[in-house]
Amino acid sequence: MLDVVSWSLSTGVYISQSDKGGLVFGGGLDHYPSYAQRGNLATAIDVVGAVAETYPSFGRVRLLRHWAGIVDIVHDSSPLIGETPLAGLYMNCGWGTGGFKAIPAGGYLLAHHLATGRPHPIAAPFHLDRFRTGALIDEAAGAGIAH
Amino acid sequence: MLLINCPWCGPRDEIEFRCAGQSHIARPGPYDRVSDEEWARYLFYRKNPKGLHSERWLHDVGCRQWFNIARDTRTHEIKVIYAMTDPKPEESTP
Amino acid sequence: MEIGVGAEMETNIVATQVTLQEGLQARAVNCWPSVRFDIAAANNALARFIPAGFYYKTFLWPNWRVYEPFIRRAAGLGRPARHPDPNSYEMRYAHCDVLIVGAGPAGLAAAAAAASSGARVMLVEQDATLGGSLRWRSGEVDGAPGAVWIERQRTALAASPEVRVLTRTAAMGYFDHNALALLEEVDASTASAPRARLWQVRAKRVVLATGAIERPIVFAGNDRPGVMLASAVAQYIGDFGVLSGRRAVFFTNNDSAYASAEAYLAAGGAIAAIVDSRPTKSERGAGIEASGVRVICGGAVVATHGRPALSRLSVRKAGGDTIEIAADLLAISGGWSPTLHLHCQSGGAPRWDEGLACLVPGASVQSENSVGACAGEFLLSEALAHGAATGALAAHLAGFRFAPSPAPQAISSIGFSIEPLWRVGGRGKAFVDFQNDVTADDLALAQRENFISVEHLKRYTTLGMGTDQGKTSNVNAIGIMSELRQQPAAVSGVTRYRFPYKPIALGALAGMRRGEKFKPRRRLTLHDWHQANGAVFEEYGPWTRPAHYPRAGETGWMAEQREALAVRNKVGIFDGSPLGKIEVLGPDAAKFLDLVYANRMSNLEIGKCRYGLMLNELGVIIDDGVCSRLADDHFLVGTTSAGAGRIAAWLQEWLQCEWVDLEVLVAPITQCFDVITLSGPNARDLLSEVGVDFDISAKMMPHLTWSGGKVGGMNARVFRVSYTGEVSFEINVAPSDMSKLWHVCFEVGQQFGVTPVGIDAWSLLRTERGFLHIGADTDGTTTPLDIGWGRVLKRKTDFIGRRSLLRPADQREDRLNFVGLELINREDTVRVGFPVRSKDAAKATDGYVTSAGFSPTLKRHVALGMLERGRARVGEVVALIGDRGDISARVTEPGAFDPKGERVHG
Repeated sequence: MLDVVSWSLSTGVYISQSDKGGLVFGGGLDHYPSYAQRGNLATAIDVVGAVAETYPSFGRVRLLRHWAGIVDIVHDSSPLIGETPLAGLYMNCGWGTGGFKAIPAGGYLLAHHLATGRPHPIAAPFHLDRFRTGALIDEAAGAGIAH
Repeated sequence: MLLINCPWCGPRDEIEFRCAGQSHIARPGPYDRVSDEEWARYLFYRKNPKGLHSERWLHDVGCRQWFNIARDTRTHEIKVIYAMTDPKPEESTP
Repeated sequence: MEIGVGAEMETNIVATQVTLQEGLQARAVNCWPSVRFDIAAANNALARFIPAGFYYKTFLWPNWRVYEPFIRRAAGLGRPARHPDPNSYEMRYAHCDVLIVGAGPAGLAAAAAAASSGARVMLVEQDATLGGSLRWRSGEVDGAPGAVWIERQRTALAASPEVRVLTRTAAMGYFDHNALALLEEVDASTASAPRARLWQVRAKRVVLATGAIERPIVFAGNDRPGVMLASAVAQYIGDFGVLSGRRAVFFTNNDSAYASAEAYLAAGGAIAAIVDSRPTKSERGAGIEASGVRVICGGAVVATHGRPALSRLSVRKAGGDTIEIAADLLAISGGWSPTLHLHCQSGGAPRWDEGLACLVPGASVQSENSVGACAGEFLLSEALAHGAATGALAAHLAGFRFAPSPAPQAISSIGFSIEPLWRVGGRGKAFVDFQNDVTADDLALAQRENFISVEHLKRYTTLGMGTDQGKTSNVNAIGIMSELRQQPAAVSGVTRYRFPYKPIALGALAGMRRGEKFKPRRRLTLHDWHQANGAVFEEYGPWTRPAHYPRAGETGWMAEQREALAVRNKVGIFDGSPLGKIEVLGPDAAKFLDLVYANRMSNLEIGKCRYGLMLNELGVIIDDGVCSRLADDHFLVGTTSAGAGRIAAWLQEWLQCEWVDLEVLVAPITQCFDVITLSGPNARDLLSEVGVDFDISAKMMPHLTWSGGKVGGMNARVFRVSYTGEVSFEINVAPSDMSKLWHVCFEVGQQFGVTPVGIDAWSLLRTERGFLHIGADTDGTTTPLDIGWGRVLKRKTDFIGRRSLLRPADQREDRLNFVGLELINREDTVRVGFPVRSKDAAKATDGYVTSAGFSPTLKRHVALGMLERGRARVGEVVALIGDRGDISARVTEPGAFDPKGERVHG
């Protein structure tokens, strides 16, 4: 049915089809901290509603299950890649809901850092220190997602 | 799907509200005596407790009033609802 | 199974759950070309080549892409419809004191008890009729046959005014604070009815009476047609009068299968043998043996034979000998698994019960209790007694008088006993998950490879990821894994159950929010006038507004050009109603505005207006607009149309959460005034002709002032502010006067050449003049320093975002600055997004074009952009990377037209 990942800027919902046939889609957050891993009906309604609106023929396709867990969100909606204040500890996190699309590149960039001892030029701006210096990388508009 | 007891409107569904995260964050000042570190801490550093969390909520599509909620982030149980100007409630070990 | 045709087609439907209707079209899925000749069955011959985890291992070599098409062809469970879903769905909300899920014997007893206290009770049942297992199981309640007792309960509940009974309604989810989602499948006999209704219920107490699901036994050949669950055999007889097979073997490890066997005998079926894996003959075994049925204790079915369906099976007896028995039905029972989904979703952690060999509910986390089989109470008498007691208690806890009533009495059957039999050894495929084809050998492989956590096991083998989400397989998998690891089942853990309990149509969750109702649009008061005058509408945030008004033969671009010229040469009329308007009032209003604007407002004189920037605490520009002083303690804050709601909430937040001592009232009044903007050299003449009772001369009412009074006889506030660079009057009137005043302006304006102007021309005029458009020229990092407003740092006092502007990154000189870009070659065209080529080869770009268009006045393209160190580079020629090669442009101050801003004072 779908041989691409589609992603709507107006609803922030992404959808793709697995090789086994299932449709995988997501978007939306609870805007409060939680460790309950429970999921929220209002959010499910928003996300599913966006899928049904974008693809009207999916209206009769049925939702089998959903995932709920912790999304790592950073203030400027961009990941944290690089060294930490603790020597030898590196981080590659804060991808929010974008990680499943971009992490192959993220993994490559961090591997470069680990192998050479220096950040890859592309990854350098994603250092944790940007929150002190103010050199934020605001991807909120680019991401089209409210986080 | 929290049920939030708005101090002005009574119990209402979560979808009427908006959470703005951790409460009781003092705005440092005067601006010309605040270090970059202190300012960064104010802007970006937030608690993320597994347990009781004091946070600001707005009854967005109701009375439009802000208030504080002390909520357990593991169970979503709301322990206390209190005014913006009230002090943070004593933390009893849950 | 797949039912329906065309847009109404549905796939993955369980055949036994479809109500038969005249004209129903149904087809089998996943067995092409037919059940009798299933090509996928050929995979059985390849079984040992397709082990668990094969997706992750086998197909990595040489390249996943090679295998992908074949996997895709073989995968999937049916086809979806190709057309928009023609049905409608509803959403309902409800509150109740006691919600009871499941109308089997325990649920009915609970409902009766709760209802007798006067509580508002909702009883929901996923089947079309009430009664649950009591419909088809033998047994008497209160001296009456099950069916009679069910009917009595139904009648009594229907007569209770505070009770609502919903059938064909499944509880799908249990969320925070006792919120539940129910899905009611609506009887399709009325054409206008929605197909399904999603109920969101908030209940004070919840009683879960969701029953239990019988488990299969894992042995080789357990997927052969003719192998059925024992309870299904009994239910076919009791519910539908259908006898499955004629000569059956029952295979069990517990007592419950004997009741099913008795029902089979009573319905006229022959039983070749009952194979009971327990070595000692149970009381029930002895009983049925007395009626002439052969009972093989300590035995196990080790193989099944027959094509396409079962004809005989092999049984290994206690001593080890294997015998063959002819049978066309094998009824199996591996025990019962309580339906714990909702309990788990509510936050409960189930615990393992050794005696019952299953998971049972743990402690309640929310206001819920489980009763009956879902609580591990497999005996009818037990379920009824606990159901009645819990129903009464639930009503009491919801605030009603405690009214215990005598529990319904059932003739108690003999106790339930079970000895676990997780898998029967033997050659061949022994299925654990029938939907995802996960076998006992797959679990053993996963164990050998150390995928032992239930979560890893699930993902590695795909166990429990089919349409039943493990309802029949999870407990067997736990048992098998525990046995393999030689540890008690209690420590194996369980995967989390989540919404939805069973598959739910996406359309049912979307409800009525489809099409126009998905995101309702806001329309202008004058929408109909704009439409009648040829407007082409576009969406701007929530608003639907005229983009341009093409005349016959005009394209949209031609209309934009004509409208823009009209403003420069004569006068345009623009509907600016969505502009944000917020009144800020009180003794501390001026002090407050000094904090929320980057520039000062406290020294603004009454009657004057000033352009202002608002920042967030990061120093980033979030909105701009004109602030007008109405009185000493009274201001009108103008915001962008997009910022109207956001900025009003922003101001409130600061007042309520930070500066709580300031005495200020914030009143959003955007909807209280519509706005007619007259802009152009003839604007003043037009307005005079309409009639104003105050002086609007350039001397008495210069640019950036406002006046209140009558315009065309109507109360209005008139502001001299300009978005176009031309003399402009923004006339604010009550929406009730809008239509009248607009018509007057338009008719009177004919002699001055008035032209309706849409957003396209309006934006173009702004770009020509070089004014900033927040969100187009700026992004989430743009500060006032970037747009040439360094003077805000000269202020002596604090304002929101000030401290952030002092950080090293904000002070850097290589930041992007807002500039104008003048094309060297007048013939060149430029579009938004064109990058600026960097002279530094290592860098991709130095910036980009943020606004652009063809100026009909200057007769060439004009552009604005963000350029690294831009302000220091005014005069420099840069290269824009166009789609047909580089374009040379000179960096200028923003504003190609009337750069000194003289026209606005005219």
